[in-house]
Amino acid sequence: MSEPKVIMVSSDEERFKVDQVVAEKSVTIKNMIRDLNPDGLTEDFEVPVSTIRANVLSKVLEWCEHHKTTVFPDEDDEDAKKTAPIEEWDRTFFRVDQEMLYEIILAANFLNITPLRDSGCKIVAEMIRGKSPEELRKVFNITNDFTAEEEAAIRRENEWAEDR
Amino acid sequence: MNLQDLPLDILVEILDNLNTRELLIFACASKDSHDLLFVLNQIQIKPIVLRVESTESSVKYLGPKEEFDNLTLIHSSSRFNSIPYENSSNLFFDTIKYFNNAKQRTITLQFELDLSDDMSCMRQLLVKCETLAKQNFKFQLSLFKFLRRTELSKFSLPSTDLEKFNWSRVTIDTNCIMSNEPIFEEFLDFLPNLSISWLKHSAALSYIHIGERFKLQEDLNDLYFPNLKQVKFEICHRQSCENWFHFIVRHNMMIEDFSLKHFHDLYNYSGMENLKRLELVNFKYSAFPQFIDLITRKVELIVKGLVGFCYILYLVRHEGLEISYPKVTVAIHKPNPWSISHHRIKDNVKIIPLEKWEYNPFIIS
Repeated sequence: MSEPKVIMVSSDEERFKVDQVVAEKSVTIKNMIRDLNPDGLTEDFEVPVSTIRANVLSKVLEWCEHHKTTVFPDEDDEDAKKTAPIEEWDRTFFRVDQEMLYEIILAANFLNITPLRDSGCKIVAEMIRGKSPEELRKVFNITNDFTAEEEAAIRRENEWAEDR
Repeated sequence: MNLQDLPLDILVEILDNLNTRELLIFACASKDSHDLLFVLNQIQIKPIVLRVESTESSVKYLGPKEEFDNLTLIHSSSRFNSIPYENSSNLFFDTIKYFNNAKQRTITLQFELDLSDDMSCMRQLLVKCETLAKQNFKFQLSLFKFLRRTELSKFSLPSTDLEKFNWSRVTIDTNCIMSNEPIFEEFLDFLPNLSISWLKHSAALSYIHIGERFKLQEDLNDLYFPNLKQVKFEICHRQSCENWFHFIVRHNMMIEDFSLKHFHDLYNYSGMENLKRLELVNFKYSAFPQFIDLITRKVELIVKGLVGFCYILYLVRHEGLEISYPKVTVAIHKPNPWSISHHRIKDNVKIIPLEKWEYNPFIIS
């Protein structure tokens, strides 16, 4: 008999059948499975994920499948988390438009998949890094609502942190 | 969806990957991003010292009060303010009031006081804060360095106001000297007027950092800090040093972390049986006997500078010193694999770049 599967149902009612080990990359799902099936899964287990659309859930599960055997740094070890480089596979995985990138991060946050959320956040941080305020506005569609005087004042006040 | 539509906790996570400079550039993009930095600063995810000056909307932007635990509000020194000190203290007080209603939260109020700040405004701010003070408030104070000679005459500590608070952390950074100014003598004349007697009710005091050249002459007998765990004391004045050491020894205080500049000035360090960690700066040959003694007493040592490095090297290579415990960390400029392997420093002696060791007055542990 084959192993029971976890069936995740997206907000637009699409069903994704995955191995338990894949679904359990999400701490939220893992806890739900354990709480509702204290003796372990004996049959397929359906989980509605009503806040995540199918195209996003599909991407999240793609990541979970790829990382199903990956051991990540201890969540409490902030230093290890911060210094861990982004894997090449993850970089390729995150080559999506900004909307999708944010949706993946939000989904990872909702499902409590910390390594996915952290990688996504690092990717966004990299998009911020090294850019001028003008470039940031362009990349992130930010409207400059400072007056010229206000902007000059902000730049002045931040001078102390600049390289000299 | 745009970046700034993300929830605050995600934004915090993203921005936490950036350094201060990158954050400040980000803050220049829009009012929202600037306000976000203000929030980051307030919740101390990034203790970058921006200013408490901001717009009214920033305070509103902070969102539900319940989102924040262990909040730290920093009132910056006027060094970082381009607005009048009075305005920033008013805004700071409004911010405190905004959070004050939330229950079961520890609120740390940190006051950075540059000696060029307006002392009367500072005094007013403290008096107002006192009216709100309640048990879950923690008070921290940082006194910064002199910037210009003229500021010496303007400065007077509002000690009667300061002593009303139970300070939990105090930094007095008097390391002021600009080498091209004949200010040093003037400064030394002035220093005896600085007193720490306003700390006398500070039972919560757990950390004190007193900067270089602080000349403490007062009798410390009346002071007792039962919670003091960490002392960072950069001294070159022998009398101050001895006063402090005797004070600590007399009270048999549980100092876990002690930092000393000019260690060789110490003549009597015995009695500090509880010392667990000692940071040595400007290590001198005259301190070597004490150094050996500290190693045998299993005190964790952090030694800054090449002299300490060479001496440890000497001990390891020529005296066969085994450093299995305690840990010894040596901070030197630009350590490289060659120098470390060439000198065959034992694995349990950790070499770190000097830059990583430097004290940063803006970071609160």
